[in-house]
Amino acid sequence: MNRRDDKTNFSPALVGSIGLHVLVVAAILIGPWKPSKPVIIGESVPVTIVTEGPTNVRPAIEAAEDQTAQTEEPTPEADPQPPAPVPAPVPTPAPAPPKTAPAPTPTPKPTPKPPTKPAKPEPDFFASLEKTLAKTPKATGKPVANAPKGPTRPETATQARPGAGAMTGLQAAAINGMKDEIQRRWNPNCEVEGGAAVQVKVSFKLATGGRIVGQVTAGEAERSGDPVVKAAADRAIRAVYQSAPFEGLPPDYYGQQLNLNFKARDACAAR
Amino acid sequence: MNLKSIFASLAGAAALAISFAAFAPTAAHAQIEVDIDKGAVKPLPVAIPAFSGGGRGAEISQVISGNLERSGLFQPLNVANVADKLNDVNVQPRFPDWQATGAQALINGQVTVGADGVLRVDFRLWDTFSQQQLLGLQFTSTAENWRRVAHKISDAVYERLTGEKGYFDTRVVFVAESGGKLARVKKLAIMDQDGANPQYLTDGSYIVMTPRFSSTSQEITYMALRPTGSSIYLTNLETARTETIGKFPGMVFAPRFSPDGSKVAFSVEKGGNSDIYVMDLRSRQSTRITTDPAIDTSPSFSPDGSKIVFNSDRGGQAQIYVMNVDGSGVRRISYGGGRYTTPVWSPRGDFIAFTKQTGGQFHIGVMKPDGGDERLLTTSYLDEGPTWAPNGRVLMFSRESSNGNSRLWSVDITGRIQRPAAYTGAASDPAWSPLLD
Repeated sequence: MNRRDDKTNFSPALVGSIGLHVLVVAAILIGPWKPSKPVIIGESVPVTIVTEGPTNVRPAIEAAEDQTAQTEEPTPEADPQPPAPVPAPVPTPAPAPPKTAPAPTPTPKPTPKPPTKPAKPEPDFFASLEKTLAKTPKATGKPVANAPKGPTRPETATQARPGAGAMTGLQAAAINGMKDEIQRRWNPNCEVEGGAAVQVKVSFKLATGGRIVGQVTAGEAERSGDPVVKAAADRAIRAVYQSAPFEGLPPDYYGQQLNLNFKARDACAAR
Repeated sequence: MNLKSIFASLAGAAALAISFAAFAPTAAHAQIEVDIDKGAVKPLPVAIPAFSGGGRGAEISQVISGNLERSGLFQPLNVANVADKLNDVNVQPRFPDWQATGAQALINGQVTVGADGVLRVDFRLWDTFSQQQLLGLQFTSTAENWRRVAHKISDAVYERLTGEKGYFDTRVVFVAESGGKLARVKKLAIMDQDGANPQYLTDGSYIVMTPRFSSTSQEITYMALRPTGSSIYLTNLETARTETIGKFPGMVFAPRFSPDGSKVAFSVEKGGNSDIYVMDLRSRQSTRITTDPAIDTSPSFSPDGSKIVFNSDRGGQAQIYVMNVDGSGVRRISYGGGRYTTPVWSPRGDFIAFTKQTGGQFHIGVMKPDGGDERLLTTSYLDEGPTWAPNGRVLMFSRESSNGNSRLWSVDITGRIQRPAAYTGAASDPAWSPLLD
C-alpha cells in the first residue's frame, strides 16, 4: 500500500461513521420529528385567560332558579307527663320567591388577567433531540433500542398508544411527563359509592406550547343522568385544565386529539 | 474505497432514508391514548369566602364551610387574603386569583334582606379551573331560617361535587345525659345535624330510650321508662302532639317506623321472652310476627317495607336475621363470631348497619342485606346504636369511654371518615331525621 493509496482509500469504519452522521442529519431534516406540513390548529382558547363579565357569559349547567326554604317551626318542649295534644302553631309561610333571578349586573373589568401558570419558554425540541443523540452510544455493531429501559417502558408500550407507529423514547417520556402532571392533580371520587367504578374518557387538543385548544370534553359522561358519573367527568376535566399547559411534547402532537382514560378503579385501589 | 463510491453510498443511504420517511407512520394524524390510573385522593379543596351582605353572609358561609369540612370529603381553605372580593354574585370571579389558592371549587354568594324582612340568598358554585358555573341557586326565607338556607346550599354543593345526595338540612334526635352514673338523667333532645339549636323535648323526670325518626315526616317514636312500666310514644315535632301507642302486657321497647310511616314495629318482653310486633297506626291493631322462645328485638324495616331485619339469640347468641314483614321466611344473615345487635336497614336498601361485640371491643359495621360484605367501620371500648343519614352513606352512633362518658360520633360507610359529632355534651341513642322539606 503506497501513500497515494492512503489518500484515496478510506477505511470501512470511517465510511460507516460518515454514513451514520448523514443518516442522523437526514433523520433530523426529513424524519418523523418534524411534521411535513404545518399543523393546523383551531382558534386558541387559553384556559388561563379570564374574561370577566356577567355570569351568563358561560352557560350555566343549571340555570339559577328560585327555591324557597321552608319555615321551620319552633319545637315546643314536650309535656313529660301523659302528653296532651298541643294545637299546631300557625304556620308562617315563606314569602313567594320572585319568578326570576334579578338581571345580572355586569361589572366589566377590562384588565386582562394573567395566566394562571406563568408562561414557560417554548422548549427547544431540536436542541433536546441533538443532546439526546449526542448521548447515544457510538456504533458498536449492536442495534440500539430507541425506547428507554426501565419502568416507564412497559407502561408506555401498553398504555400510551399512538394510533400509528411505535412511540419513540422521547415521545414516551413526554407523554409520561404529562401523565404525571395530571395524576398529581386528579382527585378521583373514591369515597362515594360507585365513584371508583366510573371510567371517564377525556379528549382535547393542544396548541403549540402545550396550551389547550378548545374545550376539554368527556363525552356522554358530562351529560350523564347519574350524578356520580357527572361528578367524575368534572373531576377528570378539572385535572386536565389544572395541569395545562403541557410542555415538552413533540411538535407533531400539537393539533392532534389526545384521549385520556381516567381509571378511578385503579386509582382508588392504589390508595 | 474512492470518493465516487463514497458519494454513491451516501446517495443510496439518503435515498433509502427518504423512502423510509415517506412510508414510515407518523403521529401527525394519530390519536394518542393515555391511561390515567393514579390520583391524589384527598378532601377536595374548596374556597368558601364570606358571602357578601354583611355579618349574616359571613355566618352562612361559615355554616356551609363547617358542613362540608365535617363530611370529610372537602377541605375548606383559608381565603381571607384573596384579592378578588366577589362583591357581586352576578359577576364572574377572577379565576386566576382562586386557582392560585389551590381551590378546585369556589362557592360565593350574596345575602340581602328586603324591606319586608325576607332573606334572599343567591349563590354560585364555580369550577375554578374549567371556569364553569356548576350551580346557581337562589333561596328566599324568613330571616330566622338563615341556617337552614346554609344547610340547603351545603346539600346542593355536596351533591354536585360528589354525586351523592346531601344530608345537611337534617336534624338529630338523641338522649342527652347528665348527672352521675347512679343518678343519670336522660332527656330526649333534638338538634340540627351540625349541633346547632339543641332543645330538650322532655324534662328528665323519666328515662327515655331508643328515639327513632319517621323517614317521611317530622315525627319521632321513643320508649319512656317510668317506675310504673314502659310506654312507646309518638311525637309530632311540628305540632308537638304526643301520644302513646297503647298498653301492652309486659315491657315494650325498641320502636321503629315503617318506611311509609304507617306502622311501628317494636318488641314486647314478657316472662323472659321478647317478640316483635307490628302496629298499624291507623287502625291501632297490633300483630305479633315472631313467636320464637328466644329474644327477638330491634326490628328495622327494609326501605320498600317488605322485610324486617332484627336480632335474635335463637341460635345461641345474638345474631342478625331477616324475615318478611308478616314474620314468614326467617333467615339468619350474620355468621361471624361475637354478638350482633341493633341492625338498621339503610334508607337506600343496600346495607344493614349493626353493633358488633367481639374480643372485648365494640364495633359499628355494615353488611349487605344477604349478610355478605361485612365491614367493621369502628372499634372502641363501647360503640353502639348506629343511625343512617338520609343519604345512606353516613352513620351516627354513640361512643362511650371507659369512664362512662358517652358522646355522639359519625362515620362514613367506608370507615375512613370518623369524627365526633358537633354536639359536645354527653349523649347517646342518636336518630337521624330525613331531609327537611
